[in-house]
Amino acid sequence: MDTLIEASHASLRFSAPTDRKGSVKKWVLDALRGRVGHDRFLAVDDVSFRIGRGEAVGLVGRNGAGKSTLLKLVTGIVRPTSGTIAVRGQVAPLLALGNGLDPALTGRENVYLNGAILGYEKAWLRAHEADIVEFSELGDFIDAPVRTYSSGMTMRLAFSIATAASPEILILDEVLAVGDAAFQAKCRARIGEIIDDGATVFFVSHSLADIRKLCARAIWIEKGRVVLDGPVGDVCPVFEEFSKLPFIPIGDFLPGGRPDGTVPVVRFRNKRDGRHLLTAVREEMKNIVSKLSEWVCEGVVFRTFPEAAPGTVPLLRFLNLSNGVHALAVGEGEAAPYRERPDLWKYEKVVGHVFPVAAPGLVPVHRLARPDRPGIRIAVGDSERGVFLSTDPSLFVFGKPFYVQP
Amino acid sequence: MPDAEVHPERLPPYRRPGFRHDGFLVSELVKRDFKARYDRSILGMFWCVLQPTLTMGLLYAVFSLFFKSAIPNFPLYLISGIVFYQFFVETTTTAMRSIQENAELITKVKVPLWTYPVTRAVSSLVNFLFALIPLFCVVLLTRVPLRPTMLLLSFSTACMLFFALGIGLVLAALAVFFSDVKFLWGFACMLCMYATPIFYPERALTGGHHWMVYFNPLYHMIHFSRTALNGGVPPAPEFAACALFAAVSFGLGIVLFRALKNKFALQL
Repeated sequence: MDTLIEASHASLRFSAPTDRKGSVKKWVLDALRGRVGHDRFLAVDDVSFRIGRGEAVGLVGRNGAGKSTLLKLVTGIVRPTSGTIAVRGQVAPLLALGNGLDPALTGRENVYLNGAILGYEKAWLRAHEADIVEFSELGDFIDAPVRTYSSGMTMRLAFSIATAASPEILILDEVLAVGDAAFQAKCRARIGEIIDDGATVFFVSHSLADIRKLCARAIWIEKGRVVLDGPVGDVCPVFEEFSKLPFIPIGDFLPGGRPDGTVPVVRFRNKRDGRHLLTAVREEMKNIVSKLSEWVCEGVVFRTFPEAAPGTVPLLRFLNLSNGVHALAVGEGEAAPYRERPDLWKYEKVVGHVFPVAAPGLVPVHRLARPDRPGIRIAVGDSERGVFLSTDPSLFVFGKPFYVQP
Repeated sequence: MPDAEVHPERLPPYRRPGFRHDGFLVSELVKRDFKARYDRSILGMFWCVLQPTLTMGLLYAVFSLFFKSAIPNFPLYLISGIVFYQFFVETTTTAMRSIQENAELITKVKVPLWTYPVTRAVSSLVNFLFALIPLFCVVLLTRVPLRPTMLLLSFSTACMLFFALGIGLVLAALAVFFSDVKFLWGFACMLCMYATPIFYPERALTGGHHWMVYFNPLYHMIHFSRTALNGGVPPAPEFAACALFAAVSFGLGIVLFRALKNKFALQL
């Protein structure tokens, strides 16, 4: 398969928007203070990938992750400050829908103006003007100034012009939300056609459903770096969970299924304040969370059942509002004391389901507390409990153990 | 154009890269400039002619009180100066703003960046050509005989175009980084107007102030045009001076613009 887009260690470094040299005076003052060129950050950080002919690749990432900047590198609007991005083939950027339209001109005049901006030949445009007008469904409005159009009509015209030819590389930035539902269906069909014509597609959207439909491969970028690059089915679910991260503690990831039916309960440590958190997460999520947030994964503590099964009870997590430490309660009976003090303990979630009593093949999880320090420590199995005890047995208070699969 | 013979499906949809193939883009952008400028005005394109006429009329009404007796055929002297000066100011000012005004587009679609200032220069040239209509009306009204030397106006026009475009390229590149340039240039244009004999006699600057005129490119180009309009052939050094100013400015503009253009998209 021949490669159409190849990025190798591409980085883009630029000054933060707050540091723009808007005036000569500021620039001179900054130069005198020796500050010119500082305050810079990497919008794209050492990104490498290859995209072959006919591949449809979705680009996912949160707002400000560097998606748009990466698209600008691919379209050639900006050049990487280090590394290279090689693009072979005609690029049709659909990230500018409506930007090349002039409100004072009629729709028909805009077909030529916008067509010229998008790189079409004059003769070709003349031959395809009728098709473009027909696709846009503007009818007689095509000879009215664009300023009289509704925003939906403007977008329809822009989409019709931009997709009139089948380019080798199609770049789509959130462009499927065009016009009404019927026209959106038509847009999707047209993009499908372009893909069937063998175009390479680079697609950015907040709609993971659209990405799953159109793309076989997804690249997830965060803070300008590639986090995951692989089949859509692998990348999207992990990204989806991660994207819920910034506002909620990380415990809110959906536990994913495992062949044996259990999910890992992982201990994270907060880099800033050293707090610990126990939560059930997907296996592949552990490293990503460590890489991108202030929570560092310390390892899988034990495995638990994601859903209630015969003989199990829920393991509930509570947050102490005064010091931010977590406590685990086995079943509603144990949770009652926490529930009585909603001013101090906030119920968060069910971390997993565990066995309250020993059964063949299960090991006990001991809860140990130190009265002089907040937080509950977890020891899996009697041998691990011994480690805590060996430091100073008199310091620890034991809770009732529960039983899990090691 | 072979459109008639080639089947529409066989036409190449995309232009080849390279500035030779971007004429279509520039012509569409120029058309847009004009349509957008006179959109929703009743007189429309007629303003191209009306505007220089009104400016000339106003300045004539004011300055004929002072300089009429000192200058033979003052109306023609005045309008030739104004038309060339306006051409210079319009080209440089609109080219200077071209990059910032198209920021939306520049940060989204890859279009050769030079097309934006060049489009503005071409638009100004078209405006200038319209302004020649009132100029030749004055020629006819003041009974100046039409002579073949008037064709030399095309030389001074070309020099002025490249001279102004060169400055426009420099200003456009700098304005992306420093907004101050826009304000400074407004002041510089005013300075040019007073430092160039447009409405006062050229003799007013000879003597102690002659060096100011000597190094003033606008003076050379306007003086050249006036000589040609009055039936004279400017001496060879005048040809050389006009061409030299144009070449130096245009060359400088290209060099600076090319050096900075890759940084535009990030600054906008």
